[in-house]
Amino acid sequence: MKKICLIILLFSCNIDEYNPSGATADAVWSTPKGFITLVNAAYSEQRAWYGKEDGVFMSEAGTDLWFNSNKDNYANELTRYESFTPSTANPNKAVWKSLYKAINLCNAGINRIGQAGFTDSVQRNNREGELRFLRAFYYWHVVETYGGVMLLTQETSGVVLTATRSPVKAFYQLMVEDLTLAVKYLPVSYGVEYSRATKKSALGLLARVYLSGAYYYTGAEAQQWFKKAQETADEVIRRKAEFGVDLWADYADLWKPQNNKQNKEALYIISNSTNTALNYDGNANRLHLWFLTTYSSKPGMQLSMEYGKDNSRRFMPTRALLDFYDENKDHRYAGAFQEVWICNKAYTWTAADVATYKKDPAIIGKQMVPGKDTALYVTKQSIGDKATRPYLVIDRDSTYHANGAIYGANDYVQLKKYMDPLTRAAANANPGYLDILVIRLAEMYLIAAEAAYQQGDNNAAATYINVLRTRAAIKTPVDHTVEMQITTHDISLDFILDERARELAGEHVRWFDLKRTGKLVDRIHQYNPDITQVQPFHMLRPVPQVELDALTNGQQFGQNEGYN
Amino acid sequence: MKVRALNETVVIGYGVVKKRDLTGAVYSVKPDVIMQAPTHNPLEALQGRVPGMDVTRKSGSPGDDADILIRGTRSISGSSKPLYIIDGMQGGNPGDLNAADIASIEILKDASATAIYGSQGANGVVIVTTKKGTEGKTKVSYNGYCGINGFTQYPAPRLGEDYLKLRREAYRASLNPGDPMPDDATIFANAGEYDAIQKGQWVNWLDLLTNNGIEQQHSVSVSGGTGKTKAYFSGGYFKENGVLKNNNMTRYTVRLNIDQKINNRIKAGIQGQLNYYNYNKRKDPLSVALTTTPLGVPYDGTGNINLYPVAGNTTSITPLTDDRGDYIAKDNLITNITTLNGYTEIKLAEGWTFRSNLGATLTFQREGVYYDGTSMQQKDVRTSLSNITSKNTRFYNWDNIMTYTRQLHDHSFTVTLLTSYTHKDYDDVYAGGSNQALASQLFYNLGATDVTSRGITSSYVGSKSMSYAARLNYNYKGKYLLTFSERIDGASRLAAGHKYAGFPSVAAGWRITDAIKLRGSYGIAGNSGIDEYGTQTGVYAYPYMSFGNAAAPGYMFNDLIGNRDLGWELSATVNAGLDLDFFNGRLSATIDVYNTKTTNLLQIRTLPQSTGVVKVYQNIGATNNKGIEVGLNTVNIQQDNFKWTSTLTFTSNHEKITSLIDGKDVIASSAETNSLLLNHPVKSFYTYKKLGIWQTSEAATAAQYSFGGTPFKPGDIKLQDRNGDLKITADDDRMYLGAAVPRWTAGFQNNFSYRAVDLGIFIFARWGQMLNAQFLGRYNPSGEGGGPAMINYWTPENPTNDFPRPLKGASISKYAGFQALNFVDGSYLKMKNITLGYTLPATVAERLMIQRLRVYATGSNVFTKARSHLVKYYDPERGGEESTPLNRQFVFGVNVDF
Repeated sequence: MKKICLIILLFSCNIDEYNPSGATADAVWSTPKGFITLVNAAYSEQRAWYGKEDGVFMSEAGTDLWFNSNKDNYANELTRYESFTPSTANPNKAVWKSLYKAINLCNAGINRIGQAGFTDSVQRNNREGELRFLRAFYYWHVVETYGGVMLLTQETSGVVLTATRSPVKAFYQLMVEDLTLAVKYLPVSYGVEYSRATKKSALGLLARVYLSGAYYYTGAEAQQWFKKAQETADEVIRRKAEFGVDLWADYADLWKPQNNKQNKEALYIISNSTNTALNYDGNANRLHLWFLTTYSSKPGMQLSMEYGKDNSRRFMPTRALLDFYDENKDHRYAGAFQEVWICNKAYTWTAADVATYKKDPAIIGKQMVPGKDTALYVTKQSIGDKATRPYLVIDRDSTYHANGAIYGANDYVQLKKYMDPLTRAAANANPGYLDILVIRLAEMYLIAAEAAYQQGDNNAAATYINVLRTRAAIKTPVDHTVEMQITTHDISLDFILDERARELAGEHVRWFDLKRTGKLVDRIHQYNPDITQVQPFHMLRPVPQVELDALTNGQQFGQNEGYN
Repeated sequence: MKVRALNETVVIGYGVVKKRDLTGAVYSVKPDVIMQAPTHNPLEALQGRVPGMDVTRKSGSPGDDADILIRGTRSISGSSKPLYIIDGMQGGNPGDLNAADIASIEILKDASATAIYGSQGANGVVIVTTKKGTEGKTKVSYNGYCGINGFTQYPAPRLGEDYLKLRREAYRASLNPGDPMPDDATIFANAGEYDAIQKGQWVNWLDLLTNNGIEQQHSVSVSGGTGKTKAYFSGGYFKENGVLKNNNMTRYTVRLNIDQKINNRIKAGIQGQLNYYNYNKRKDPLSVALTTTPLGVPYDGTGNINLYPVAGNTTSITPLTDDRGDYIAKDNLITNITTLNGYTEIKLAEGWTFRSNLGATLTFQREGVYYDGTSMQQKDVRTSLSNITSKNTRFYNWDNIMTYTRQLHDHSFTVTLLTSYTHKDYDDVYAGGSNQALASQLFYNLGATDVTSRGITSSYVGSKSMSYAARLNYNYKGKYLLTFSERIDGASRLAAGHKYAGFPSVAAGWRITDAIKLRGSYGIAGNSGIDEYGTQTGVYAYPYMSFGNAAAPGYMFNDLIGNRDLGWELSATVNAGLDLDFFNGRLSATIDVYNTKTTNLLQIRTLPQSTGVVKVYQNIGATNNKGIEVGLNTVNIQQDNFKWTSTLTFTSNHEKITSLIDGKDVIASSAETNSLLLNHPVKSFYTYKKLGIWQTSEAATAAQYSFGGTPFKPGDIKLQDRNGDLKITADDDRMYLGAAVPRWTAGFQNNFSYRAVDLGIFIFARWGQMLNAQFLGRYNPSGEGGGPAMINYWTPENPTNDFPRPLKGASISKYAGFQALNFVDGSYLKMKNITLGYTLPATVAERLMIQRLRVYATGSNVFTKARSHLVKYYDPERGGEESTPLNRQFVFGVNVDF
């Protein structure tokens, strides 16, 4: 590439830059093989949300289902809306940066795919499908969290110091366009790389998008969106055989760590590799920490791989959440929550214990045998004879007040969906390598039900929900399927939200569910009386102050209402 | 320094002019000055001799270069190095030249002189011309010297009773009032400590580490020629041993200059030079020597160095560890530089000359490193480290210059048109590993390292430029002078569509009389703060991604993205000058005043997070440099037997940042040294200001002030409370303390000659700069470890204002405002060079068949007087760093011409 100037005075030399060892965007992403690296990079920021504390705090905390007593400032800010300002709440600040970093990569990919030199159009469409899915995925999180902020469709190149707000509807329009293309372009399966976005992922996300988008419209337009939501969810359900997905017959099987990888009920998975060098960071999936109660310091118990690393105590269920279940009929309670710990350390009750735990002195000297006896029983029920039982009992009355407010926040019934005795290296290891099921088939039924309800078709809504309730019904020793069925009259928006809680508690959707249906403040007041400071404006999170400070037109861009 | 006649010629950019016709600020230096300093870098000899040029030797390490600053610092993130031109060609470094090979050095300072160099001219231009052959008798010369490099000025460590006193005082300060003072055995309770004190096992690590080294230089040159062919050939050898063991530099140079007249119209020639450097670097142990406990047994019975000098302590390795042998610490850099310039000059027609210069500089470097597990470098990890870095650099320069000179009655003009192409690139490779079994293999067998520990990288960086320029020199009757120039630079490192930029200049001169000339100029020169590929958006490899267990490597945008709109940093200079030459050359002076506004400085702008990236360079800052330069040459006494001449240079530059992003100061994370403050120089110091130490009588006042909630007490550092709220806080009470640049510098050279004896004395002063004196931060208030003996600490009986009261178990960071302790006035006056020489009388020389023989003795860096008493034991020219301090040189030398 050297041009020697032969006639010096008249010709000018080629002064293009030659950069063989440097990696520049133009050089790397202009071949098909290089372009894939851009697509791969675009996926990575999902793992900053899913599998990390930030993600659960942004999507489950501050709702009718969960409470947090006093772990760290950001926990109060997001769970109880106390001192939640544009400058506080670290998870809020972190996800803003992370989402837009990913969006920039998606924009770069979508705009550069034409110059990537793809000769195989199937390959090219697959990649574009992935990028469009991802952009819609990230923008759904942005618009539902922050409202109508900046809608960018070009990569950043140069000095960009201003931004303009776009209306929420413009976001939805872009997401629908992107996902419609993604549905068209994405394959049914990627084989070994099962956690890439596939057709069913795009359809599942599209159903979600149509549903949450519908609430921004009124009248006939809204009905159109609900109709599309129902149709899309229906399509997934209809084509489930083709997609290779189905509901697990036993709800508990859905959450067994052995069934976690390539889970058959999942439409979209965010995977973690057991090869630790290939994960977003050293900690990979830490969801196994956040929902656990304390057990390892209790009599007869010690930290174990089976029961997980405790003491993080970020998410305690409200009494309301526990009471949404009829555990005698609904297998989902036992499938999602843990109440019993079997002794794993030989122990003999002492007089000191009796005093500490207010037990009957009769149990002094009673032994607990590892593997055989119960050591800890934390339950939603009221246990009358808890003092005389030869194991620690923490019941409803020790945990909640009469009005449902939290009495003791250190011990509670724990969500066991994310427990990881399988992939972690040691009992006290933080990193976990299980996959996260972001969208699963069950959600399609709930989306269809809500959409049908909003179109006035309660019958259809009940039918959809009954599929889930049939699956959820306890069948042995007594079959409660019939009792679990609901009728048209049971359907209401609150019922649908209750059913969503029963099915999807802790699965990164609750805050979005309450926000979408406009029920955030009402249901918190009703079911989570400890959260006293929630306001209607909390249905949007604040734009981080650091963003407004960096924009030269920050004043004009403006902060979300209520956070000034 | 000899007086120059106005008819003499001065080398300027792409040409020569007569001094009388010069319109720009150009200063010429003659070779005898360059030969005076006993150092390998001829530019060092210019310190204090060129008004406007600030030369500071970077460090005392053998072979280390000098920092050269012409008219202050203009750029924040770009380089401040001037452009070096050697025999008309770029790409060389005057530091590689043999001082004896240099015929003249010209320094171009104002824009009318430097704008012809376009985007590289903003920092000034240093033009070096080497000696060429002359017609006539062949002349052979030998120049050499040999001497000692050492006698380092460095703060001595605290030893003996002095050390004990500090520890006792620290203990006393920790006692509750009324408690009795325990005995020494209790105070000196560290493992083996009391025992060592009883036995008097004091060690001055600094003494043991440093030794005066030998320095020598020899060069032989042969110069001769006929009417058609002229040649100059030289060879040189330089060796400097540093004060540390295994720290030395050897250099060989060979030069050949040939000028051949082919016929009446055509001339051609080459200048070629070969350099070979062999440089053994050394990781500086002086800061360790200063802070290691001065107790122990450094050598065992047989004279070998003890790895662990304190009995019972097997973690602290001796500061002498790298001296223990040849296979402990080695960092060897070999550099080969080949420079070849060829030219052809063709007289096309009357007044028309065409000249083409084609040059190449090829550099090959190999740095081999081996550090043993017990070396200073590796003592914390205890595994050996070995690696090799090889770098190949190529620089090509092709200039084509067309000159037309015409005299029309009283009008005389010269038009110069030129094109200039440069190409620079390098590629390097690094290979390294750890834990090889045999230390003696050093880095010559990397295959012996641990397979899992190995690292390999390579890279390539290159850039090109293509430029066009035109210049018109006009004079009327030799009295009224006018110069215009315009240069258009195209550079590869600018983005497409922005690649070309123009740099104009205009200058005028008025020779009022033969003795007085007035000149003024205005021009714009550029500086690149842009790195190669800086306008491109880079991406980095991101391997932390997978689908299932299948790896999915990605590439992500760099935090710093490219900006296609980047352009040069531009310096616009207005310069007014006055050249005087009275009394037939007995008094000549040149005075320049200038004002340089530099705009479009590159600053990093933090982008909003919604952009998805972090930062980008923007052309947005501005600085201003204005000042005055005076150069005065006098022949004070000129008699048959006695002559006395003086040269005085004075430079004062006022530098300040005038514009920053959003008009806000930038307080960096290393706030003390890296902050950018509006209306202050670029390298400014920003922290709390120390007013003194709180005295016992001020206890009540001290208690009113607090830092982080804790009130001050006697013995604490007294800090300035800027906003008067009695609370010392980082946000409100930190301030600009001073800057690393001087208010003024001056050099004063006096030459006396009496018959055959000559004496030269050069005094240099650099005044008004502040030092960040690292060794002052080595005050350890607990007394543990070592420390400089000169630290005067406060006790109730010793009411000094220098350093706070010691306290057992405390580190210096415990004291509020400790950062301020480092910053002191660095002003100094130096007797930089004394030379006494004797020239053999001509009659004697003739009998020995020698044209001229002179022997001399030179002392360099002889004596320093610093303004601040805190810097009394330290050479402030070093700039505050505690490693590789500057040394003194005492050499004997010979100049022989055969």
